[in-house]
Amino acid sequence: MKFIHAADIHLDSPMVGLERYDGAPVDELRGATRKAFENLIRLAIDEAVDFVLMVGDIYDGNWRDYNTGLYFIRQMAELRQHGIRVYLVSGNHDAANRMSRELTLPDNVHHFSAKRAETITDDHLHIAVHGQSYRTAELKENLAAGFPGSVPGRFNIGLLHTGVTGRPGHAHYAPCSLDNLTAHNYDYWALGHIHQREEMHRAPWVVMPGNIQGRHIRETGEKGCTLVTVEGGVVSAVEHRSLDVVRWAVLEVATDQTETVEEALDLAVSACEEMLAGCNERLLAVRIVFTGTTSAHARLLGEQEHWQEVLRGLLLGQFGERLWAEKILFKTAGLAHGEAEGNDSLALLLDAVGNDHDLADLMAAERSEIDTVLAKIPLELREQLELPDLDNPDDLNALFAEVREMLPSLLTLKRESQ
Amino acid sequence: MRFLDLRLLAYGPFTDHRLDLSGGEQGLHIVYGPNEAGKSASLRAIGSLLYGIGARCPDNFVHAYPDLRVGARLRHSSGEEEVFVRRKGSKNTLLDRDGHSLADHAITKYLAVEDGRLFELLYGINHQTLLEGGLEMKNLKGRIGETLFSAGLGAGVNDLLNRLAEEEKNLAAPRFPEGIAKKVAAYKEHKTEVQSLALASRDWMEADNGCRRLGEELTGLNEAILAKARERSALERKLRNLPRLANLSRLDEELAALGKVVRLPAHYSAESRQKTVYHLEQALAAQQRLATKLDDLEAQCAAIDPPTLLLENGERIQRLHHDLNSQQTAAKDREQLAVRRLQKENDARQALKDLAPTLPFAEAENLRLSRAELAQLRELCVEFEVKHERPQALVEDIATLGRMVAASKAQLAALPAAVDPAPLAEVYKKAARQATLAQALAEAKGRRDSLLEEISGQLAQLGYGICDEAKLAEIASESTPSFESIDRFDNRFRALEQDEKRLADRLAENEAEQERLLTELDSLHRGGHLVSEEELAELRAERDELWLEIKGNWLDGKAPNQTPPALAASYESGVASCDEAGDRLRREAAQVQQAARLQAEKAAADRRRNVLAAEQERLTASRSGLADEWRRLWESMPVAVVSPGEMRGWLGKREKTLAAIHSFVEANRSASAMAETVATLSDELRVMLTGVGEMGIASASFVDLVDRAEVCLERLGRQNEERNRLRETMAARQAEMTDKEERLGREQKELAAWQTIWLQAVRKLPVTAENVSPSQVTAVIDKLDSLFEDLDEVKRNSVRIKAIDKNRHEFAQNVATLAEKVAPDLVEKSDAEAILLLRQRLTQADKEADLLATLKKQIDELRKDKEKNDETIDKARTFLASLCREAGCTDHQGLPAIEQRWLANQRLEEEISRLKSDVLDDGGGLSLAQISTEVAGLDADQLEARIKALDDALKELNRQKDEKARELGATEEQKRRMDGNDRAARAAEQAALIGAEVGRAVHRYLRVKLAGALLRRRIEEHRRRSQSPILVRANAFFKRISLGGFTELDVDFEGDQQILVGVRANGNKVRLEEMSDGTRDQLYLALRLAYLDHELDESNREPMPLVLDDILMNFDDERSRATLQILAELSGKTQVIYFTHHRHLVELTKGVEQVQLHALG
Repeated sequence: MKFIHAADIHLDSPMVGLERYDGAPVDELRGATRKAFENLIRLAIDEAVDFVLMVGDIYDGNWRDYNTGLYFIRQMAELRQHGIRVYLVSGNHDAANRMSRELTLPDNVHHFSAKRAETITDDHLHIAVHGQSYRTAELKENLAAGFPGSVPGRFNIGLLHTGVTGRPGHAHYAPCSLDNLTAHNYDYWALGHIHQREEMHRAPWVVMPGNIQGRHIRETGEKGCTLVTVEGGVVSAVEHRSLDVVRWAVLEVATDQTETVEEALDLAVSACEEMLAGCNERLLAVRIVFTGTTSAHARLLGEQEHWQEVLRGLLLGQFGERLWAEKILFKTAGLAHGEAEGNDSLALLLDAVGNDHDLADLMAAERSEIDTVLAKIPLELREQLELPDLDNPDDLNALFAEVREMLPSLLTLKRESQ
Repeated sequence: MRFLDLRLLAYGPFTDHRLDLSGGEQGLHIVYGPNEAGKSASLRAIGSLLYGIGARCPDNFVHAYPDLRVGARLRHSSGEEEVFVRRKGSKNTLLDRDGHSLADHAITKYLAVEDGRLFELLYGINHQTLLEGGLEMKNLKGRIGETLFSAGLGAGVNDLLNRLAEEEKNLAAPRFPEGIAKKVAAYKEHKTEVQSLALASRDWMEADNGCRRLGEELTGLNEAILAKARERSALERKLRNLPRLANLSRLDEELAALGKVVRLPAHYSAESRQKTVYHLEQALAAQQRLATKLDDLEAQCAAIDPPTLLLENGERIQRLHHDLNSQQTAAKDREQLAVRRLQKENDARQALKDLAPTLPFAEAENLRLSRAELAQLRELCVEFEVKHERPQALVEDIATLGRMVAASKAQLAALPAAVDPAPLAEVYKKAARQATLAQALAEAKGRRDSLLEEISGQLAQLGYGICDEAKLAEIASESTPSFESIDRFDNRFRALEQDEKRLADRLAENEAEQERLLTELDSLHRGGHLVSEEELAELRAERDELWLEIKGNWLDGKAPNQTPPALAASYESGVASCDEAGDRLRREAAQVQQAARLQAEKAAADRRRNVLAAEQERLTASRSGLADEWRRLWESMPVAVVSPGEMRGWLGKREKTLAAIHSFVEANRSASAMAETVATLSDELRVMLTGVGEMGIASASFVDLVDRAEVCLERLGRQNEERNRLRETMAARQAEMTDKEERLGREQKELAAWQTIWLQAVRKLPVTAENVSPSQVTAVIDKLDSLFEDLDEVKRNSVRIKAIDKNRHEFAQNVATLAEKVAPDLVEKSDAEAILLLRQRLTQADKEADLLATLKKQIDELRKDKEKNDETIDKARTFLASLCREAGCTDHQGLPAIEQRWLANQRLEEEISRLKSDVLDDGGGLSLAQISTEVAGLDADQLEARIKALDDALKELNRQKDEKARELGATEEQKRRMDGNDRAARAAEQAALIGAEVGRAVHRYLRVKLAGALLRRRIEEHRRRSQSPILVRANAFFKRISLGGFTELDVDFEGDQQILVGVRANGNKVRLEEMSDGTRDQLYLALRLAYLDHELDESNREPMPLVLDDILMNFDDERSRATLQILAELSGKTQVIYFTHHRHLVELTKGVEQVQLHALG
């Protein structure tokens, strides 16, 4: 017997945070979650699995396009044609979405009730599948506690969308401990909710498959589903299968060994090449962060837009549409230059960042104007943008560090351009 | 940090070039390099060394990029020194003196700034910078904060502030394409698009339910329509069957009325019957016509009998009639032939008579020659001329050639005797190569003389007096002091002078001090004598001595030196003196101490004076020794010895003269060599010219000789050429003559042989063989040809006449034979008449025979027609009889009535059957009886009304159906569009992309905004901190650079804005934008320098060398000198390296201390 365990599909959820530039592979990016989902369907058919488990968050909570539901039905119908059953529970996102309640799913799909945990048995496969959907989005009770005991002589599977003991970055819904789960004497716990894959327990297996497609820079690495093989009523293999079409990665480029900007950029390009080699023709969305101490620091930070453009040009030339530089950030440090506390304008310029109080003071003077500009940005967008928190001294320091390197560069740049 | 040297190891045009920058305290280094000397490259080399060689460095035109090296020895302000070398590359570019790579930060501590561009901005000033700085000050209108900041950091601050403000404004502006607002608007637009594209689940449900409901309604309507249609068709059927049933009963009645009817068989045909009767009647009429015609033809046949014998011989008659024409033509030909034969025979006889009068005509054939013989004779005639003419022509040619050879011989003999020009030519060639020698010699001599004159003048100036050539050599070889010696003495003199100056200063100091000490001592002593410790000690010693004397006298009874009372008095006074002295010493202790100190100082000053005096003496000795040495150095020189500087000048001039002397010697030597060559060549030419007989050349010049030799060689050449030409012509003619003589012999032999053949051939002709000419022979041959032509024609004509006669006879015979056989009555007629008559008779007979044959053929055909007609009559009669049998009648006349009744019966039956079939077909499965019952009593009008009502109902139902179908189509289309597409998702993706752009714009906005704010704040802070110290320094500098044109810089107010103004000597204030460009540039420089000066004093940053590039280009000499002076002063604090293209700047540095001069290239 073979089955697939997937979760957190978030159909039609857009890729967020990618800065657009000329030559960016916009087409490659399009409909990534659908393509990944189609990969899942194709895998189920190719592997001739007996059934598929979908453990919550099929849709994005605030997504209101019924077309997405229709698309989902079509895919389910495809599985039906191949005689593949689907066991499905709703997650917090689905509960927030009316659509999931209104869809009429094909008869090969069993959508577990939200009222109480129920058990579905299949005499042919000798399985008992236990599951419960979310009633509301913010479900804070321990659902696992209400799951029935195992059916003897059957391969028992539990379906639950949960944060288990709490994972950072994810709301703590349907909380339960690992012990709560293993106590049920099931053979396989199919979980969902956390977007990072994790095999939490073996014998019995407790698996969090992660989401099938990363959607922003916090969802990096391979994404996909778990393919489970059962032989003689015992799990014989648990394999991760990649389904993502866009892979997200953060590339840290340590510039300590470099002296010039060009060298640092070359380093980034070759690191990207290495990273692409492991992507199997997928589009790589990469955030490039330059770190380390280098004599090129001042130039890098001072003219970051320019170097971003140059690097994007290099990457485009080298990798074409296989790679999208999501953002290029410069977090380097300069070699010490005496840290002179002088009375001269050079000191004033070079050491433009004074003490915290000084910065706060300067910021305060400009704040109302900045706030007026920022107020025009819709709140939901502002939350996505990773903007510096102007009330946070650390963020402020980092911002001023960039400004401080910008001034001499701007002054000298003008010279060079003449 | 300062440069001790700059090593241009492989950089720009330099290879292993070293610039020593170690001189001076820090040194104002003026590096002079004319164009192309590598000034710019060395300027760049400084930046390259400190901060790395740029990626697109232009200094690789001699050394390739990988080979570029620039090095330097640097000294840190702490005194530490290190050598660095920089290579081009991206990694490990910093090397130590041995070429081992160093970490990049090894050099960092020598640098105040880590960025090369910043270094250039802060510590580099060039002409362009000054212009920009001046312009910016003008634009800033003297706003003090920005002006000072700009002076501190180089021009561009104003521009930068503007740029930042502009970008900030753009980013925040509502309509700037790259601005935040515009991008947010685009984001919102896409968000709205997402909403409009998204499919609400309610919409889908509605569409789904709508489709189902409409489908059901449509089905209901369709069923109702079907029921009504069925009802309507039943009514229509009844309506149709009503008339059909009425017709049926009428037809049944008609059928009954026909009564009994004979049923003719299926194959019975009325048409066949009618045709057969018609054919029978026709055949009977034809039978009669045929019989009559046959009888008539048979009678005509019997009346004709054609002659058989004549017809049988028809062919022969025709042939002979045809031959008759030929016979007549042949008779005419025979007559003409006979006439011609007679003519030709007469011609032949005449010809024979001409050729051989004695020969009888019958024997004429004897004269006939064969074709070959004739051809040979003709050929021989043609050859006759040639064979006789050729030897004759040869004889004439030989005679002519003989005369020409003789003439050539005479010409040769008249030429002068041959002379070999080779030796002369060789010498001439040698001389010609030196043709310009005479000219060069004259020039060399001229140059030598002018040099000598110039040298004499120079030597006289140098103090050598009048010199001859011999003296020149002496001067050239005499040894002089070297420049190095002069430098050495110069240094020693300078050192001595410095020492002397120092000594004098110290002596003066000493003297002043002595004077001060004496004055002070004097003033101390002026208040009375001061008791010294020594005096007190002395008084005590005197007292003690007196006491000892008293004691000796008192205790030991020694006699005192004076009387006891005197001794006592003395002692008392001694004790008193001691006490007083002691008291005073205590009382005047301070004065005493000061006096003692002054005394001690005085003593020390005296000692110093002595030392200084000794030093002075030593210096004087040194000076005189040095002066002696200096004089001795110049002893052998004819010049009055003066200062080393002047002597350097003298020696320089002397060197120049010496060079001129060398040139002179060289010129002299080359002139002599040339003169010698000329003489040798002249002698050789003379000998050779005499050898070839030239006269009057003993006193000719070299040039004349060369010319003569050239003329002579030309002449000899011409003679030899002429001689050779004559010899060649003669030989050629001789050879030709011999050749022709040989050919003559051959030709004569051939002629003899030919004549023999000629005689043999001619003998066959009827002529006398001897001396017959070719034309005679040709005439005989032609005549013979004509004779035999005639004879041959006579023969041919005779043969033809004979043949015609024979033919004629045969024809007559044939005609006679035929006539005898077929028409004996014509035997007596001539053959021509007989044959004509025969042919007439034959034609008549042929006509009769043809007519007979035609009649017989017609009779045969008529007989066949008759037989056929009889057959037809039989067949028709048989057929009609059989029909009568079938119809049951005796005569075929009764048949038509029977046929008509049968036909009527058939038609009625068919119609009845069709009607019945129609009724049943339309009866919906009912029997005929049932249908009849159904319609019995029905009214057609009623039926039609009911059908009309049904039609109306159906129309209404169909309308409703169409409406529902359209509604369903629209709803289905609506549902079909809800196809699970991802248009809304794509719009959401677009929104996300634009959202990220908003982030980028905001980030940029924040940085630009804060950068502007920070810069403004820093400018203000800088102004607060540095305004007064900088302005104080700048004041001084500007006053000096402007040569007092401006006395100070002041701060004025324009509104609440502080602005910088210059103050003229007359107190007038001048705003910056009102100053001339040059003055403003100078003010900018004053501010820059003031700023640097301030920084050097106040900052604990490592001082960096100030690198200047021709900044004084637009300064006049005075201002340049003032500026250089300021730079020299600044070089006390940090190294100043000034690069220039202009030599006059070097002149301007005279009198400026601390200046170190360097030359590039």
